[in-house]
Amino acid sequence: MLHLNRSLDVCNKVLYQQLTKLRFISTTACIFTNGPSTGSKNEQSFNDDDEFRVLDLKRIQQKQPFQRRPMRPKAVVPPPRTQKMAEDQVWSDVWPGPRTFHPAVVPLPVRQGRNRHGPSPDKFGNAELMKIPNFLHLTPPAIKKHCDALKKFCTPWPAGLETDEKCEQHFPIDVITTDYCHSSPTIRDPLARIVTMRFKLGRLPMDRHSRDKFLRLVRDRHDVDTDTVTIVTDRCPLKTQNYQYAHYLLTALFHESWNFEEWEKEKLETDMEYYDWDLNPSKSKVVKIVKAIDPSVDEENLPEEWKSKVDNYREALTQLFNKGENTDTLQNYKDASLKLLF
Amino acid sequence: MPTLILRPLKKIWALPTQMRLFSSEATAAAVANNVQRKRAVALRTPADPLSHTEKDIGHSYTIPESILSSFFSLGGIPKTYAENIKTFNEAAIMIRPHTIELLNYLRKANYAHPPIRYVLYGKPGCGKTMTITHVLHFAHLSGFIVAHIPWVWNWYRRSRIQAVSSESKPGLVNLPIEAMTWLKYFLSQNEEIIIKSNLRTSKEYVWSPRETTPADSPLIELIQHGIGRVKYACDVVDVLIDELKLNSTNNRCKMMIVIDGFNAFFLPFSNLKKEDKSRVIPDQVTLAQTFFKAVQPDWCNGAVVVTVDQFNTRDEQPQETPLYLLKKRGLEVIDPFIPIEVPYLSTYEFHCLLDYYEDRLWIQRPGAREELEFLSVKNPYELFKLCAPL
Repeated sequence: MLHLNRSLDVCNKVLYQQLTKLRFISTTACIFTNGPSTGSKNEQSFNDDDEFRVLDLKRIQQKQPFQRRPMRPKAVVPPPRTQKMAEDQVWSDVWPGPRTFHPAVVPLPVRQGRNRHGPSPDKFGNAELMKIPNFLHLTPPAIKKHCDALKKFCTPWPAGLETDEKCEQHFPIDVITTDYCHSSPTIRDPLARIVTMRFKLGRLPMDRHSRDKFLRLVRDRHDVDTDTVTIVTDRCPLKTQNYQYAHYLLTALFHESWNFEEWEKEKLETDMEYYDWDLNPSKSKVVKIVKAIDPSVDEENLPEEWKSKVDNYREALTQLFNKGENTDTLQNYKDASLKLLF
Repeated sequence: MPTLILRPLKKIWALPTQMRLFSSEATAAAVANNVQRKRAVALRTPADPLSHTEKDIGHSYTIPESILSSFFSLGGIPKTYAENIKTFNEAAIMIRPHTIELLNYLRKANYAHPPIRYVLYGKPGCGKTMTITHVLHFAHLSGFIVAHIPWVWNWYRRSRIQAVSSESKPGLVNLPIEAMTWLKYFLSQNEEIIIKSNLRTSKEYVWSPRETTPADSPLIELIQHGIGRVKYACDVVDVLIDELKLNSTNNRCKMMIVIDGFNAFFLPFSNLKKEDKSRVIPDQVTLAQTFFKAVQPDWCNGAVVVTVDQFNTRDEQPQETPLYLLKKRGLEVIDPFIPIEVPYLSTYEFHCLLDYYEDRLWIQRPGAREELEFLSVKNPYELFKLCAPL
């Protein structure tokens, strides 16, 4: 009997565990009961009572009252630090380096984002403000502090290089290289080999032909607006080699553009980099019209009156082609045509 | 089942009564608004284009019914405008400053000199083609023979039209049907004046062993030959332009060449195909070569008015300026020319146009002019479309 009871007990326990897992029965309700008892008391009742326990299949005997799970205590969040900040605090001490935006640290009522139904979201819990880079560590006083700290390592600015123009005059070539510094096992960075060389094309002694050839050779490396040529060399493994290669390129380009090859004589009107009125059919047409209007004129030597009109027209058309169409060039062209034709 | 059918019916019946109520309210409000506002009255000029001056800018003038049914009987006016003639029950055109400028040039030009070429350019919807219509009316009244191409790209856009190799001009292709249609259109516009001026051919033209046009035969016969014998239509157009140039140089007539969408001639592509299914470039067509010849300044007593249009490009963001659209080659064909910009409406013209729309009840609820000005950017065609639901 005892043995049977024990084996029943074990069976019950296994069944209980399985049923609990499957959530057929509540963990708080008892299955075998003789009276009002809870889980912990159940164990005792198994052992203590001599009577057979009643199998309460429908669980009508006792139902535990519903107990609300105790609320998790709320995290205590201190009020934002900005409320306690002094007005004359040193900001660079609060925000010394680059850092993601933090609403409780930045004492500014900044807003970011879009809200259809009201004002844009404020800084608290605003992911948009965290995404964008900020320059809160680069305030003018912070920069000044940095500079002051670095000053003791600096040498005085060389005399005679006070203005940008003077710098450019004495150092016509800019060379830009980059050194990289990281905490990795190697101090080498492959990007450190790249050398960028910049110079003004106007500083090189060139004529019309060599300038045109130079531009054709460097292609889009020439910036028309600033007249700057930028050569980037990265094909050699070392910085020094790339630096020397850049200088070699400059030399080669310069001398090559001054060379006049035999095949360059084959350049046609369509290959011209600028519009030359005298080489175009426009000239002969205008002369024909002038001749038709005034048959007495000599085509080769136009009289002064016609010459000024034709020159004016030539200038306007050349501008239209070379400078591009805009209100001014078109108006110029219109005026010149009106003078010529009326 | 019957309930299922009945239920929606009930709802449908309920809807119109509600709507009626709303619409009657709206109408009442609109009527009250109109009473307060007093509908605007359009400014009109009774005169014809011959006497239009700067004073008439902003006014509208009406092309008479007789001109519409004779001169414009086979088209020549833009499609949307033709629809508007029905809508407004009159063919009104607003007189605009650039048109007056062009008319003034046409009036004061010395016709003993080679023809002056005028190039109209401007953004789409600004009224280049309407300016052309105005100028056509002017040219017709001033006794010009008008050679007008309503839209050049129409010759090139239909791929089902087969281009036929030209027999007279090797390497080029003919568009016989298009040329015949154009000859019909030309004849409908100029028959009267050609007969009146008694224009005749200068030399004999041999089309085939059996078909010839003898020298000193009337030009009308030449044109009718082209219309009747479609095979030779392109050659007839070519000869006709030569003859007209000759006749106007000899002071027997005046001619005006008017081409809308001139830059389509200089496109690097077209939809036409030859017999061997290869593509045709626009300037390979004999008609194009003919009109290149027509716009050359080697004749007298005439004028050339062309428009360049940015619809005739496939560029993503086209400009509207002449050099950009004509390219160097096109510019060389037509330079030296006088560029005339067709601009957006001025504020005064904008209000004049809205007055006209209110006058013709195109706008039934006046107001919101500032919004219209902002939305349309004072582009007349955009403005017309915006006013449609008002």
